[in-house]
Amino acid sequence: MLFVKLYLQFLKIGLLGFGGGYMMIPLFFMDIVDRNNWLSHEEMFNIIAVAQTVPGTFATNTATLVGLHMGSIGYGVAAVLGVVTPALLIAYLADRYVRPYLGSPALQGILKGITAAVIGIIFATGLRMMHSAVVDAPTMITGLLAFVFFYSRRWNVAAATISAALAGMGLIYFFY
Amino acid sequence: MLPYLEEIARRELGADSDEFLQIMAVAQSFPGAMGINAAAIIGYRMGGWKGALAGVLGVTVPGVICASGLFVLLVLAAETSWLDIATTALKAAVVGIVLGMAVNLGNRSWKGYRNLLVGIAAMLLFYRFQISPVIILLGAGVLGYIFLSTPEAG
Repeated sequence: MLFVKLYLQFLKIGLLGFGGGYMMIPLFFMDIVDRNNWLSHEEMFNIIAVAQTVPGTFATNTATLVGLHMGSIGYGVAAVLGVVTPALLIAYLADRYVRPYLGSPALQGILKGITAAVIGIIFATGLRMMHSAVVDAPTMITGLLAFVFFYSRRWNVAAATISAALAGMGLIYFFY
Repeated sequence: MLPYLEEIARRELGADSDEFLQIMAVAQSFPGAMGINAAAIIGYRMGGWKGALAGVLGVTVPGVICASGLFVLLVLAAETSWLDIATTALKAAVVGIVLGMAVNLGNRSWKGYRNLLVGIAAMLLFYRFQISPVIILLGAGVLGYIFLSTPEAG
């Protein structure tokens, strides 16, 4: 049953998505593309790019688009429900039973280790995506612009992405 | 998103900034998008599991609708050549954002060489050797428990 498989797959991705949506990017490529062959690498990359530019949270936008690409809004709903299920568990269990221990050195140590690894994995994911997306001078300038726009912290993710992409479209148009 | 969440927590729960920061600490420490987790926690405190569900749907549905609408537009525009240019540019921009996000997070949370070592190790294991993120995160949790549990370890 594809609905159930999608739900479980996105539940797994949601449970591993420490540090927010960006940690989920490598999991999307691994589970949706490599393991299940539901989408091609190209399609997945396009979805990630679009999910980041529309309002709302990245994880659920991606889930919606994956479902739609696979042919039905029902798949999208199953995927969204899967990826938000951990949040519901956290609201109930973590806020009540784990919060008192959140300050303990042991738990803080574990979380620090995981956070450090998440940052490393996100950086590696960016490098991997760079190989397929940055292919010439215009795309390189576009990527650099997005980096600078976002890193300057004046703009949020969507504003930085859209501005850099618009500049990039102009560059590509005039370059070729 | 965060300022809105804080306003709701203040108005509906009477939470001060300290309490809101605690909610965010829980939301951030557990897997999943921080905004969705925080909405679920605030919703749960307001109205039990129904509140949590309402909170999650509230932050999720607008994006789902926007993404679906854009998807329909993209399907309609699939034959035009500018769409190709647009996705090429968008993908390049996303690379910059993802790298910027990693550097930003690193600046904020790498306060000692031990964190940096774990981060670099995770990057190499994933980038060069394609080790599964699940295994890397488990290993990092264990390393963190052993080496980062002391307050001076950053």
